[in-house]
Amino acid sequence: MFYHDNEAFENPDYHYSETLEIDRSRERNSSFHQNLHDSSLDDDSLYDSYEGRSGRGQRNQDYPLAIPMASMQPGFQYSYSTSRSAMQHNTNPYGNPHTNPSFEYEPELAYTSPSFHAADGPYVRRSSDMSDGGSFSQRYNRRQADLVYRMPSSLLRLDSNAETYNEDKHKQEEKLIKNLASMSSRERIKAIQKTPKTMKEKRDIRNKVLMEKTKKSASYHTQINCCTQCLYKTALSYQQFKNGLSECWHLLQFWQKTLKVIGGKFGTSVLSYFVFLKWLLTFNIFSFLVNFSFITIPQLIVSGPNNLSFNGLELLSGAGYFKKTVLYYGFYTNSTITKTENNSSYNMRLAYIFTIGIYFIICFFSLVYSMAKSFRKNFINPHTYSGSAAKLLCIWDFNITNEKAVKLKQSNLSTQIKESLSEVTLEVLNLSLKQRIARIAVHLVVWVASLGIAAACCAGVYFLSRNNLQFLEGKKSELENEAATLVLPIVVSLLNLLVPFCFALFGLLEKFQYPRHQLYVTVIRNIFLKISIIGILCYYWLNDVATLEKECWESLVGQDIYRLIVIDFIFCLFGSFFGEFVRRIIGTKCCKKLGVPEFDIARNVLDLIYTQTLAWIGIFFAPLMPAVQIISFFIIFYVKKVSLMRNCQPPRKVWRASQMTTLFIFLLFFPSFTGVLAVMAVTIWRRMPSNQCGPFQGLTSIIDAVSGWIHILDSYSGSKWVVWIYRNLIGSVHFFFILTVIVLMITYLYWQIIEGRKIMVRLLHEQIINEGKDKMFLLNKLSALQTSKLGPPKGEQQERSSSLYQPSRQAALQMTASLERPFGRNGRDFYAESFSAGIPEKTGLSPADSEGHRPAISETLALALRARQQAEWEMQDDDDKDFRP
Amino acid sequence: MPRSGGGRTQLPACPAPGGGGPWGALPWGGVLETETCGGAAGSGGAKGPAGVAEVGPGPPWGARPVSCRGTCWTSTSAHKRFSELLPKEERESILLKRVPKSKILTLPELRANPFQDRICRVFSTAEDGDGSMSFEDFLDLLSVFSDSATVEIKSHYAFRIFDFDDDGILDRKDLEKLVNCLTGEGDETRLSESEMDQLIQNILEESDIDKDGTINLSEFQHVISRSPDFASSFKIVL
Repeated sequence: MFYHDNEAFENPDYHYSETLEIDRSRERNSSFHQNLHDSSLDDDSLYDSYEGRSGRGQRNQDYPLAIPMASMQPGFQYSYSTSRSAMQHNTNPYGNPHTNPSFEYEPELAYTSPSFHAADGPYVRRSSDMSDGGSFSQRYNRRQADLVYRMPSSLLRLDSNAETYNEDKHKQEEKLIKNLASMSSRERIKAIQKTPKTMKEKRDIRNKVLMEKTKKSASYHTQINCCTQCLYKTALSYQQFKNGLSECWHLLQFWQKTLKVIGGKFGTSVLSYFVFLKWLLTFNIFSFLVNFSFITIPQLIVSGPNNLSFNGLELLSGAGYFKKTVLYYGFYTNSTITKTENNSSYNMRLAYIFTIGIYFIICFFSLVYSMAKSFRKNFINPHTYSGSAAKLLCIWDFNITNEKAVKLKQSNLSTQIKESLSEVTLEVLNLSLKQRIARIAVHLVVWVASLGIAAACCAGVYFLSRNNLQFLEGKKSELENEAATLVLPIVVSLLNLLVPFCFALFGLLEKFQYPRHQLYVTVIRNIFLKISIIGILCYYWLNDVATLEKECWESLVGQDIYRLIVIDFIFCLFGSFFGEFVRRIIGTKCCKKLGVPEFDIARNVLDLIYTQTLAWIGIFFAPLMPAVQIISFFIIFYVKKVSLMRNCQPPRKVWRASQMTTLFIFLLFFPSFTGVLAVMAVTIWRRMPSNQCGPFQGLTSIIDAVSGWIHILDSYSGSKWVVWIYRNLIGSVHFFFILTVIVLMITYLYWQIIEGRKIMVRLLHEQIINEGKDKMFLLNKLSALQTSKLGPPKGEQQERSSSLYQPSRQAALQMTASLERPFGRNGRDFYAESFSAGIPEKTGLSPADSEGHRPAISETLALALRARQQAEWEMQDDDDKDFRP
Repeated sequence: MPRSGGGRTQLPACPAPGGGGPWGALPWGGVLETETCGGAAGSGGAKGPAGVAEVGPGPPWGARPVSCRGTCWTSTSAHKRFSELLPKEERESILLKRVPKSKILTLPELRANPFQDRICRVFSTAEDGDGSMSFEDFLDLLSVFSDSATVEIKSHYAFRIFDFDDDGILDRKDLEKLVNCLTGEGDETRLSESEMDQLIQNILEESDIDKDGTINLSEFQHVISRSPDFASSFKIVL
């Protein structure tokens, strides 16, 4: 009478074999359709029409395969982030928060409370079996239909109904548990973790799985061999070690509280600046530890006392007393440090070059890694929304906990929404040709002007530094000399501070379509300025200072970099004082229109990138430069925090934190880090180290230290492999050539995959839309037919028909209202769903015992199916068009 | 029941402070912590399964809420915070007690949140739906809002939070309430009726793929998948 009794649609085997099989084997097999025939179609009269349909369906399902892209599947897995454990957790029905799963199996409880089920909403109805993850939609519809059937019926009918329901559920749960039990423990934990259920339910499932496992393994469980035990023990101790480590790590998280407060008041965007700062700080701590332990400590062991006087000004200029300390390259010895007792020796040259080399290699990989990671996370989606309305769904920043900040954020959002709504209605984008040309001209002029300013700055810095160098060569007093050395860094820092304001003024002239573009353009101009200033300085160091043939040019460069960093740090402090504090005073006291300033994330992050670049260059010339950097970052963190808390207000505009983050990491990598590598390469391969100081004195180039060592190693038979690696891998052109070719090939492959996926996404999207149309059409047809066929029945017949037809229509309508569409996830979910769309037609209309209505029903169904077929053909025609470009 | 319940539930073992920019994901940035913690979150469970607890049921985890070392860094702090909400004499039996909604909402992390009622409603397992929370509910909440929760879980719960009438879809009414929460109820920030209509129309146009006039879970998750900032903003750190 109810469709529960109809084996076809409540057959859990069908259900399972579909979901699980599909989940397990990722190929698009047609098992689903097979099942369709085997288990669900016992109604012969319908068989033919169904056959036809599913045949078409199958063909249709296969068509995505026609795209010649074997590796497309993982793509979907990624882009829709459906992790493919045996359950598809993401489409899981909500867990049942109110009912204890243990009592659900007792039929009397379940069926005496149908009203409870109906009233408590779908989260409850679709209660706690998660086995059906993959075909959520299908189940959802079924459950809903189920309810609709149940509601008008009497309790008598209900109890058989509820029993099947519970049995069904029980079976599903069993399946799920079996399934989980077959996984490895790690997988299982992950799978359970990923289900959106309450802790209690998760624990319940876990316990059942464990019981299942113990039952199974009871036979051979008693004889765990010692190997497994050993393995368990190691795993256990490893876990404990890891836990201990994470505990330590938490102790190190000294800024956790501060960061939380900042996030609570200013939101994720400003927080991202501080996280970036913290990340750079840890980077520097790491490099400090490496340099200190491998270069400085051995040097400290052998170094003699420093007899230069210290007068305080050195902290600014970095010269004087510091010249004879481990801070600079020139102080390090070129000898081999030997402890007489055990005859082991430490080659300072090799230590110096390898430590710094390895540090840069680690930096390189970690930068590439983080770049790739954030790129993958933030830019992988082929097309983003043009509009922003949908963004509202996820715009709320749950980090914000401060009441004032919440109010502010709300009013900001409100203004933003109002603005964007009025923009939509205004429709501004109708520019005439003249206006467009004018606009492009403005852009061009501004670009030329800003590039010109940057070039002028570079030229100025270059001539200033050359003059300064000549000035220093003249015999002057110590104090005068030190004052003169400060001119260059002050000028550079001034330029870095003032020119960006100039660029910001240019931004007022230009009109951009999106504020985002303006931001990008400003960032690009600023980074161009900063990097070209650093570039010209490097040119000056490597071309003028390095060829000076005077004392220790490496130390001179180190001092220059030290001064640049220190002065820049001081300017940064002043900047936050004048830029933010004074600005606030002006904004609140004098000129109310300006208001409280906002924290300029882009400018601050660019400053950080600039100093980090300097510090990287400085590492070779002054191995302890990271220590200076650590101190300055530490202070900057606190100063910025205080200034932010006192002076600033949360940003009004939405800041796309993660996309900007990707951009900043990219900037840190591309002009900054690669530039540093280039400078290092020139220094090591092309420049002659100074003759009187440093670990490399007496060599023609620094790399000679390594080649000399290899030469020595050549004579030992035990270390031939090192020589071989050096000659054939590091020193050979062919190797790098092959490496490049391989990398290019991989890149091409991935590019092709991306292209394929784009096509796939487009096709699936079209399919969804067509499928939606198809469904609406069918449902309309169906309801029209039903109303026309429904004559006025009488007596017992009337009761029956109302219980048959009325609910089925309700089901159909409800289905339209709430159909779950797993769009694009992939073909078969899609089909599972399209099948479920077919269900109600059959369920509602072919109950086993309604003989009298049969002909009419099958007619209806045939019509509906024909309509469906037609729609599918249409769709296929469209697809064919797609394949023929 | 094996004790280390930690693994089961994605204990928020690492409330990384980071705003979650990708530099949180760097070898020596926040990531180490996320990864060790991610591991640790699992490890509570792995400890059980790999060792003894897998085979023989032990005491309920809750009996020793602070028993797992290291993994439960947050859970200890969660435990502390939660027991502070309970009256003194009830602190011994923390697992059996429920804290009423009004008390839960005194937490500074939730106090100002415009979605506080919904959060309580969604995570509470109270039978009568009054929004009171047990310790486990509280841990569930923290775990969903932690860093180690996947975007799927987060979006799933976000959907439930935004689904004001608990009917499994976001319809116009839900969206209206959502927008009201976003803009605040004040007179000057509230949207006018026509603006609201227009806005909801826009939202539906962009996110309602099957054009049925509502947003369902998968459509919602689709939208989420296109806004990478979601995972870092859908977060509450103790």
